[in-house]
Amino acid sequence: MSKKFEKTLKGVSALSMFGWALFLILTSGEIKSAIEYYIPKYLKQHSEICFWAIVVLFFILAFLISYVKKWNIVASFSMRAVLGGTFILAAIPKILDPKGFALDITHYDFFPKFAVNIIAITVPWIELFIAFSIIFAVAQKGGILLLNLILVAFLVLLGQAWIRGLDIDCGCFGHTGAREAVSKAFVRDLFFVIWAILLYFFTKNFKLAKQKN
Amino acid sequence: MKHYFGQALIILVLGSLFGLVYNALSPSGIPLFAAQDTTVTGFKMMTTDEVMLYMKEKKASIVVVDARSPEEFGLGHIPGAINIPDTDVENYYKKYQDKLKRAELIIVYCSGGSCGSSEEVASQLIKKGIPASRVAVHQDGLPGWIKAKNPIEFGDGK
Repeated sequence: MSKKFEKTLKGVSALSMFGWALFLILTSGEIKSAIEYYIPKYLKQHSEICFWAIVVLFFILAFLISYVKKWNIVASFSMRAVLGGTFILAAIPKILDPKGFALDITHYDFFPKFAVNIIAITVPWIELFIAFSIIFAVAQKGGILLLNLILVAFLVLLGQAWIRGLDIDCGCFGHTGAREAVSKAFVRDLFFVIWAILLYFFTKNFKLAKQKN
Repeated sequence: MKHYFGQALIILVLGSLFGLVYNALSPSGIPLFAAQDTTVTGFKMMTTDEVMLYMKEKKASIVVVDARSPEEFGLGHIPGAINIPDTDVENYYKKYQDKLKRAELIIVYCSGGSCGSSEEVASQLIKKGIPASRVAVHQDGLPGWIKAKNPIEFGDGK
């Protein structure tokens, strides 16, 4: 991997991490309600603190990627954690409530009726397996490839809904009732796609590093 | 590159298999394919003709529910329908709960096709304690109703 290319990767990683932190601030309402949904009861009154802790963490990560020598390990680790973690959090409510998820899929008005239930049954489990694959680095090349494919598919689905002006619940994190605008989900997915592509290069990079040793 | 595709395929197949097995064993499982005469989540679907027939024969005991937004409802709805938007079922349900509980049949509709709001409202009504056997979804929605040259009522229905 050439030096110039590595520098570009580093720049994109740091910038996207920084952008992600800003995006979290801009969508603080949704993030806080998500925190309240997922964290234990006794932490609920501290959702404000949890939120800002998460934001600061991403600013620190962006800073580390910019200035640390082994930046690619920091970048790869944090992207794996965010993507894997998000996929697990997204998959579980959908697995537990396939009916609600099927309903969310029909809102997109995109798939034929016969395909809706099959998608609702299989996609959350595929998400879960992808998450395990990239977090624990088991069959990770395939995992990252699938991650890219599934995120681009989500991007197309959300993009067409946004263009058509559909006022629907994204359904990304199951049928929780907390409505999340399609436009915001689209931007979030864009960050994820960038990271999924970067992860592809990182796995290659690590292989090279190992060979050198 | 071959390596990548092989692994991806394994994850895909394993994920799908787990999904199918879990769905078959889970009590909250759904049918693999929605039946012809039901919606994806299993509600009985009614055509415009059926809705018309019910309205003609059993007007006193049925309630027609419009699941669209109050603005859309104001611009025209099926005569006699009540408005329960899918975004605020909680409050609107309280308003109409006596009527809904007494009804022998509740027909929910939205903008037709796979608009989804009608199913959303239907499932919320069942969660509120209305027996599932008394709830149906009008598949063609308002566009189907208008297409069949049926009358329309304007205003907020009060």
